[in-house]
Amino acid sequence: MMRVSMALAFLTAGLFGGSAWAGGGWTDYAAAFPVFACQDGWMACLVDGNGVSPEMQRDGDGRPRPSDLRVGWDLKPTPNFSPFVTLSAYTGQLVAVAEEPPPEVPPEVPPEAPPEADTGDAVAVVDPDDKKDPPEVKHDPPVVAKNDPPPKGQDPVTPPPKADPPPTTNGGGSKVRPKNGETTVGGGTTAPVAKNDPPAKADPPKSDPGAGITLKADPKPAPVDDSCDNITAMEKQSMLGKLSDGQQACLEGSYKGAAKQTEKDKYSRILMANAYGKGDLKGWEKLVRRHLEEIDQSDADLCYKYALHLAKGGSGKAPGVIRWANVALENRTVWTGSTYQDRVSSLYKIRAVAAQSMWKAAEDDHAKNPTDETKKKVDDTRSQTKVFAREWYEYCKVAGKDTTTALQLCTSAAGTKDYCEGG
Amino acid sequence: MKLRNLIAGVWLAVGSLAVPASALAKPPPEGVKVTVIVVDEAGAPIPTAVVRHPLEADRHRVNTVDGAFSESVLYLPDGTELKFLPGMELELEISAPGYVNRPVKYVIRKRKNVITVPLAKMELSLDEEELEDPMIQFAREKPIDGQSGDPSP
Repeated sequence: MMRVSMALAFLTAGLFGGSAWAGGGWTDYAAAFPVFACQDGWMACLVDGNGVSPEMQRDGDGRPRPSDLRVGWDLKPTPNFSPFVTLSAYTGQLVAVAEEPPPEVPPEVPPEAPPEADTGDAVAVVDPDDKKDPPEVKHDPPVVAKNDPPPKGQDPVTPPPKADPPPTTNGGGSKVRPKNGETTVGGGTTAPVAKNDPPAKADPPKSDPGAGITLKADPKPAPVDDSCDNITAMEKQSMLGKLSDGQQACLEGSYKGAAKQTEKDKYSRILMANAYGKGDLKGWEKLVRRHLEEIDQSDADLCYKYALHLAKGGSGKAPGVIRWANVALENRTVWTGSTYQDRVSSLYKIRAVAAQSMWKAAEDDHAKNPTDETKKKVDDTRSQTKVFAREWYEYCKVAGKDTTTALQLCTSAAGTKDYCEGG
Repeated sequence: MKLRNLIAGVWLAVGSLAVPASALAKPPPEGVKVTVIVVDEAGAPIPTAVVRHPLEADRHRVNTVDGAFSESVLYLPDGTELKFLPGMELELEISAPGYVNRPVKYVIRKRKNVITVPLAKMELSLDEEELEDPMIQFAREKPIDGQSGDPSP
């Protein structure tokens, strides 16, 4: 029995020792498990001088293929064919990337080429004289002209630019009419619609690297559009204060001619936005006053904004501040949450401050030339300040806001804290 | 004769006693003049300031030139007089539009009761962050792209 045990022990020890000797250490497999699989980290591997990356590849004919495809569509081995190929030595040079040639614009293009002469390329034609279609502002990202796919045999490392799908409506030689805002070919704002054609084998790339890009620019400057039919299209322009004088005059005429208040409302808001956008606060003030007095006073935001604007104008505009702050407070239910609290508190504040500025002005007048009339004005404005300040103070207390200034103003007008803190 | 002399003596005695009593009676105490000068933080008089006792209904304007108010007695709403007597603690509230109210307590002395009260300006700035400037909506009937409408300034 002892012998059997000893034999088993030796046999087990021999097995472990033999496997350890045969397998060697982990360092023997360092080459099989490199720290970085590729020479420059995980960005790209060089296999037989060709870069292999996880991005979509293209074969010599420009056909897409997955990066891990080992046999191409032509049944030829790809650079990934063998997993045992050693990586090329890292030389520190970047993988060559084909540069995109700049799109060439023909220097002289006849302004009105007959459609029959088209070569099937998409053509951007500026036609500013056509007024049938009101221009629409299009804000699509500019399309970048792309180069043609590389010829056969090009290094497959560098994927050729993607070819656009064949045009359906504008292709085949029909002209593409750019929309408003894209008519500045050579003028400097946005790139016009200029797409290249899909790779056509009959069109050798070396003959025209920028094939498919034919831009026709009208040498005449585009006339200024003074129409105001499309209000929605004018909104963004108006926010930037970039409506032309003609457009403003058109809007003004439309405003005066509009029968419905809702129509007037639209025109008025565009005009107000334009005045504010270009920093014409005096003009904006007139337009807002007209809007509020002639069209609608139910817009609490507008009343609030107008009262806020007037509040920065001194005691001369204090009656207006009080008036429009009161109107905004009447419509305050459109606000909710913190917006409600902040704006209502602000309205109470600017109203009390406006009343105080009137009281102060009345006191100054009375101190210079005291009469019964000035005395009455002092009493009236002081009472008004007292009331408004107390309302402000009460709201601050309820809303959990800082009551220091409100209480100071109330006490100043009332003369004592008893009035302000009384129940 | 004796009776006449007796009556005359009594009258003399009564008269001699009565005259010194009336001559020795004290006059009622009068208030001491107290002057309050209201100035701003730079020391300039505030012409629009007013002085008021807490129990009083009226507000007393200061002199518009030197910002001073002087008085020795105040009349309370119930008709009583409040005379400023030495040793008395006088309580006043000083206010002016645009300035923070200031209550003042002062112990009246026999003379030279001049109090200078500086008032601090009230900070009522409207250029604070709390005054949010709202965006005004365009009058769109239907929102574009499912949004609630582009705001405009």
